This record gives sequence, structure tokens and C-alpha cells, in this order.
Amino acid sequence: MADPVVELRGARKTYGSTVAVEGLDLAIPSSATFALLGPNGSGKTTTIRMILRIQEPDAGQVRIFGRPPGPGSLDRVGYLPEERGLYPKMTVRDILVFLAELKRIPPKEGRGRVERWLERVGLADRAGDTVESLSKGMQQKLQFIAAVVHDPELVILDEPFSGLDPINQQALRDIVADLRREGRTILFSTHIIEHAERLCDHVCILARGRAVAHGSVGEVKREHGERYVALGLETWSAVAEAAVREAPGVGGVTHDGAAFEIRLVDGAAPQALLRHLVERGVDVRRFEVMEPTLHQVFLERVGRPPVEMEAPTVA
Amino acid sequence: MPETFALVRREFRASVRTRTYLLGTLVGPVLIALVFVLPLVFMKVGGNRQVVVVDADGTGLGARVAATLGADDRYRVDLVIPPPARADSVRAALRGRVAAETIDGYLWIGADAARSGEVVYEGRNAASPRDMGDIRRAVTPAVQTERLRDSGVDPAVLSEALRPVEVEALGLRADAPDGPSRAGESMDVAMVVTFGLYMMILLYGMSVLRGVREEKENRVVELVLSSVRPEQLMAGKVIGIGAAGLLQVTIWVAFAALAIGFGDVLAVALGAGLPDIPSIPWSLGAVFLACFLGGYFLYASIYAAVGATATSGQDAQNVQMIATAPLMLAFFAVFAVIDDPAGPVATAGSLLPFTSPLVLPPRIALAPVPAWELAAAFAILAVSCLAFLWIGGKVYKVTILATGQRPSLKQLWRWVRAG
Repeated sequence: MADPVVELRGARKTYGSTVAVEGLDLAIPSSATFALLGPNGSGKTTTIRMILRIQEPDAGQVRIFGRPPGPGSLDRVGYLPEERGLYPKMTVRDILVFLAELKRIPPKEGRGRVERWLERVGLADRAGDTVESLSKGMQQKLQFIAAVVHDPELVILDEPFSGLDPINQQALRDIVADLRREGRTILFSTHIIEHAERLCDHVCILARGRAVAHGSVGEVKREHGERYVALGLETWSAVAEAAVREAPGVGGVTHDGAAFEIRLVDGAAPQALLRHLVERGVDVRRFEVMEPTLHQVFLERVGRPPVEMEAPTVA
Repeated sequence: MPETFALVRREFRASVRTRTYLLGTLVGPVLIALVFVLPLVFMKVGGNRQVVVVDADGTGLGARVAATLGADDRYRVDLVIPPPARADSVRAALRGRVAAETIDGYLWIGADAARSGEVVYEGRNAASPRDMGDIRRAVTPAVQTERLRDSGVDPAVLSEALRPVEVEALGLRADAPDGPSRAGESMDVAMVVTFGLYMMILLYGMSVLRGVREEKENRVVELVLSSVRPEQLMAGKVIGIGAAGLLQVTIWVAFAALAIGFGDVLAVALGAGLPDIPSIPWSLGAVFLACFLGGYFLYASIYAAVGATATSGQDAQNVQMIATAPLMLAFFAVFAVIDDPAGPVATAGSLLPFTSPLVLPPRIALAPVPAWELAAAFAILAVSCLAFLWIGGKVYKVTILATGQRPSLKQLWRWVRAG
């Protein structure tokens, strides 16, 4: 494998007595779409800020493109922060050209790029208006443009879908899809497993500042592989359920009527479970060894669902 | 450093495009115009005095006083020599004229005034120190001349002895090889620099503080800091806003120069004297400029660092005192230095970075400052500017997360050391 685009080794960051990130190892391969998955307060934003040199780790190492983050390497990174904001009194064109200039795109070239992007998101006619005169949704579009206008090789999106209306969610998904097609490396943080599952090929699950699972999505699932069985019975009966629960190697059972989801303990063989059920005369209609979903991995590793039933933040 | 330049340019444009800046740039010259033109107008319009000199003595003393006073354009003087018998009724009539405001007052030179010294002025302007000074200056030499003549002094000797002496104040300085300069003018310019700097710090220091706080409040700082270091962001802000301030001051000075030029024309038209355009040695001008720029940078950096600790507008109001307090101290030190430009306050104030930019201009205008002291002062000032930019950057970094409660000083210090 080529050198990772982002590499953290033993990174640690504390705020006063609060440990935000502890002993974090992370490697994001080139052209990967990488999800930092974890509940709120698990250290996602701190990790991103360390990658971007907004905050320096108390211990450990951070490298992007093979060297410590600095002027040369940060120019190749685009960023969409979770808490978004722009200079309200600047015009749409000026702020985007300015932000591109901070990435060392000369203003002349920047203006051309900004025009093209505004055209693409349908804001070309607002180029001369101030940011504050735009609707929230339009400002979010500017924020996307700011993250990609300098053609970065690495794009970092912190909770990118939070607070977006459905139209902008789709717009962002399109942008991400384009970035993937172009082979750029994408890092995004989220507490929504479905986003990670659907969009990413690599994942790092964070809990309380530590990585609890890390690798390609396939690897992460395989580590937990063959440990789930989907079982379908002809009809539910108390006898059948008791037989399922008594079977060897069964770690947990949930069911919805005659459809069971069985978690096996480490080292248990699914065949032993099937043999047991047949011997007990249970009428099996469906028996499938399943790849775990990220949700299951998450539950198992973190011990609780990632979303603490928080209300969706709609701005 | 194209990104630093971009930061500077953004700050400059952002400040120049505000309504207050435009207003300040336009209103400033109007104020300057008033400062220059109004005194001339007042001098001419409000300053004329109609005075009657009454010579009850009858020795010609009244005529001399009237001539001296009348030589001043401001006074229109009538001389009355009443017969002794009617003195009282003349006095009553003059009081009536003062009451009716046909004259401003009358000067009563009593009989035997040269010996008894009884001279009385009664008038509506008797409380004006300037008018009474003029009148005393007219009466005193006339009475002295009268007394000397009475003692038998030759009038020719007398007039030679009383010829006025001009004392010209020329400051001679070891550090100004271009020769003596008019010391008063250097001091005038020094005070303009000191007060100008004071105003500039108050106006634009607050701008810097506000800018830093707003960036944090609307969260754009997170995006900017993903590209540049916080010290760069601070420096860009300080320089950009400073450049906008300098432009404004330059416009004002240019206008003031125009106003002086126009004032000359006006002054001539109104019959007043020509004001002098001050001339100072180049070396002194360079020191003044360095003080102005250095002082602004130091305080702007302090305001930036202070602004970084603030988490709300309310908060900023409270913490700005941290920056304003040393400025006040410097301001008061200036007066101590004017009193004693070689004293301990002057020496200490020249080395302390918080006070040196304000203290040095008047001090150096009043008395030579040793070269080593000057070099030390500017070295300390420069190092302090960088230190505060650095501290400000650190504070920025550690407080970017902190919203809500403002960190305590102790906490801040720990963060700055750790961060």
C-alpha cells in the first residue's frame, strides 16, 4: 500500500482534565473515503482539528502527505467545519476568492474557479451580494465551495450532513460522489452509521477518544464476521424459542415473531447451532450466516447506539 | 507569504468599507476645519472691543495708554479728558453706555494716577483674562514712563531703555546636525504624535478586538485556521486595520495641511498673523514615526490577544480594560515627562514598552535622549509586539473551543503554556 494520506500515531489531546483523544492511531489510504464514526463527544472534531493543525496534539504524531501539517501540505486539504460560518459582510465572490488565496491560489485564477463553482450550484447571479443577504441553504453551498475550490487532494468534512436541508444533502452527496470519482481522499466524521455504511470504504469507530475498530469496512466487518445468524421459523412457538436460546454458542437473541437474529459468542460455529436446531425438531425455513452491519459492530464495540436520540438539528 | 498578504488586504477592505470609517474620514476634516478656522473667526468677529479711556489726571498719561491700546486691531479706543468738576457725571454717563452696550467698558485713570496708582477698569469684559492682560500691558509702561520722567530721566534715554527685547527659543540638539530648530515647534509636533497615537490606539485597537471576537462568534475562524497560523491571522488583522487607520490619519493630515494653507489665506483676509507651518529635523520625524507605528502595533496586538479571550460582546466590554489600563498609565506618564524630561519617570517610561511610544516623542522634543536608550526602547518595543502576537495566537488556539464561560486568567496561563 502506498503511504497513507493521513497518519496519526499515538495522538493524544486533553483539555484541562478532560481527555478528548487518547493513543489514537489512524491511517487513511490515498483515494479512500474514510468515515470517523462515533457518538458526540468521542473525539471526532478534535481528531480533525489535529489533522488540520488547528490544534496540536499533546503527544504523538500527525502527518499528512507524509509530513507534519504545514503551509505546503495544508494547501492540499479542503475543510468543511461542523460549525459553519463566513464573514457576513463580504461578497460571495470576495470571500471565496479570499479563502482560495489562503490556499495560495492567486486571486486571478481564484476568480475563474469561483465563477465556475457558483455557476454549478446555481448562485452565479448572487456573486456580488453579501454573504449575510443569502439564505442559510445558499450559505451552506458557499461553504461546500470553500472546501473544494482549490482542488484539494484531501477533503475533510466534519458532520457534513448535520443541519442541511434535503436539497443540500443531495447536493453534497453529488459533490462527494464526484470527488470519489476523481480519486480524491475524503475524510468525514459522522454519528450516523447509515452515512458511513453507504458512503465509505474505510472506517474508524471512535469511543471516548479511542479507536475501537479501524480499517476498511470489509476488514472491520470480517473481524466480527460469521457471528450473526438470521433465522426464520415456520411459526413462532415458545418451545422453538427455548431451543434457540439453549443452543451452544448463542450470545444473544432478538426476534420479531418468527424472524430471529442470533449473535454467536467468539469461536462458536454456526453449523453447531444448525445441527442443534434440527436435532430439536425446530422447523427451520431460513438459516443465513450474516456479515454484521456497522451498526452491530458499533453496538458491540461501543456498547450503546451512536445517536443518543438527539433531535435532528434543522437550522 | 501570499496568504498573509490576503489576510491584510481582507482586513483593510473590511474596515475601509464600513459606514463608520467613511463617516470618520469625512467628519474628521470638518472638525479640523473648525479647529483651524473658528479661532480666526472668533478673534475677528467676537473679539472687537470698544473702550473709552478717561484721563482724569490730565497729564497726557491717558493719551499714551490710548495710543498703545489702540495699536492693537482688536481695540477701538476713544479718549476723554473731562474737566475735574464734571468727573462724576462723566463717570455716570460711561456706566450708562456700558449698560446700554454701546461700549464694552471704560478705563478710569484717576488724578495723580502715576503716584497713587489708581487706575480702574469697569466693563462687561472685566472678567476676560485676555482683555485685562492687554489693558495692563498698555497701562504699566505708560505709568512707568511717567514715573521715570518725574524723576528727571531724559526721554531719549528712556525710550532707548524701554525698547522691547525679542527672545527667540531655539532648541540646540546633539542629535540634530541640521542645526538649531524652534524647540516649541518640535514639542507641538510631539504632542500631536502622542495624542494622535492615543486616539488611534483607542479607535483602531477596539476595531482589532471587535474583529477578533466576531471571527470567533461567527465561527469563520475555524475555516481560516485550517489554512494559516493564528499568529498570521492576528498579524494580518493588526496590519490591515492599522493600514486603514493610517490611510484615514493621512487623509486628515493632508486636509489639515490644506486647512492651514487655506487658513493662511483666510487669516490674511481677516487681518490676523500668519500661522507657521512647523518644521522639525528629519531624525526627530523618524523617531516620531517609529513611535507611532510601534505604539499602534503593540497595543493592537494586546487588544487582539484580549479579544481572543472574550466569548461574547458583553465580555469584550469587560476585558478591554486590560488593554486600556496601561494606555491610561502611559497617558498620565506623558504629563510627568513634560514637567521633567530628564527625570526617573521619563527614563523608566521610555524603556517600558507600554509607555515608551507615547512618552518618547515629547521627551525627545524637550531634551536629548541618549542613543543607547533610544535603541533599547525600540528593541524592547519590537520584542514586545512579537511576544503579544505570539501570546494572542496561543490564546486564540486554546479558546477557540471555549464558548460560554470566559476562562480565568490562571486557566489561560496554563493553557498558553500547555498549548
